[in-house]
Amino acid sequence: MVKQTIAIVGAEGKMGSFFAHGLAPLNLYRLLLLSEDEGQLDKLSRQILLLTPEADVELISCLKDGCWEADIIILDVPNASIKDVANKIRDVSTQKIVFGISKNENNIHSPITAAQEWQQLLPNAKVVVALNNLNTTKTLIAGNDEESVLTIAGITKKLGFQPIITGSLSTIKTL
Amino acid sequence: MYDLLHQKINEIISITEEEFSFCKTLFLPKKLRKRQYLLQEGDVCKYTAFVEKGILRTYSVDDKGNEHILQFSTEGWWLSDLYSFLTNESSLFNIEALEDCELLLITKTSWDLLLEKIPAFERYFRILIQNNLIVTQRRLMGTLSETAEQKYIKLIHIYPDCLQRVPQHMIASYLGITRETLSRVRSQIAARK
Repeated sequence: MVKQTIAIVGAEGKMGSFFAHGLAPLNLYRLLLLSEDEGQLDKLSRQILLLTPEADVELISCLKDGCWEADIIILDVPNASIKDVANKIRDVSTQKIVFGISKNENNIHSPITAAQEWQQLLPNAKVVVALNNLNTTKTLIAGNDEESVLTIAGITKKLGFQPIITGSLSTIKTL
Repeated sequence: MYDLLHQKINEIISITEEEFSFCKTLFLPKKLRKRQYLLQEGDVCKYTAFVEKGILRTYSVDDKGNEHILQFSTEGWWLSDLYSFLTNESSLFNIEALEDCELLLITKTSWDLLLEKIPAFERYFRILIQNNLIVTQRRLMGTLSETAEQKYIKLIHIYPDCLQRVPQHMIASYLGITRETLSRVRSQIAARK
């Protein structure tokens, strides 16, 4: 079976590294870790390979190239960088699942706003968003493309979460 | 990224800039590194691919572990396991990048949408499938009746730069001959020049 390639943008971030650490031991995906902070990325990669030497993990410094290779793009990007990242990956994210993850500590609306902004900035990508604060296994998942939502729900399930599919990006707003 | 696709489409049908802009939104751009797979036997072929850059081989493996190369696909070619793509059944084929490749992938859903929104693509794909049928019939006849030398000459005609880009054992596999026979055929042709 062809391994899907997942690019994690902002892999050194809290959620990004959580996904990298969680997905690597499964060895079901080829992981491309992307970040502008190469030092942190190198540290993360060494940690992962120490725990899972057989992990299919690679560091990529070019955001566009990494996302071009990917089938699924996971984004852990601060709100302030959304526009910049979107401009860099727009051409290569067409028809791909773009999964916006963000910790939901203080403001429940911030990931929602971010997801809507991602969808607006990447109109031809299939944006999916998850809401979770890492204190519970229940995770709300929404997106406008049903198949993409199911794919992401499957991935989160493999990481031990209980995905709850809410529907389109607009439905999650009402929760 | 879409220049070659645009060029190839325009060689067969004429579409407006607006239609091509819509067409671009349906393709998933994918970089594949050398030796990576687009499809493996047993998987469902989810995409039809257009090759922007690079070369790939489509092959199957028999019970004894021998590889049989069905085709090479280079810049400007489309490739897929059409049966698996259309029926959602498991594929019998493997598709492997022989160089770093840049592909444009389209799913069945997007393909259907493209045909629905821009009916000119019905004609485009009909002509492609028609051409493919002719090539496949000729390849089949060639396999049944031609000599190794005739097959080799035809290969050079279909894939002019293939010899520089593909290892000899894969060329032999495509032709259905042994490496030794291929080597002999090449020596004979060289001697006559």
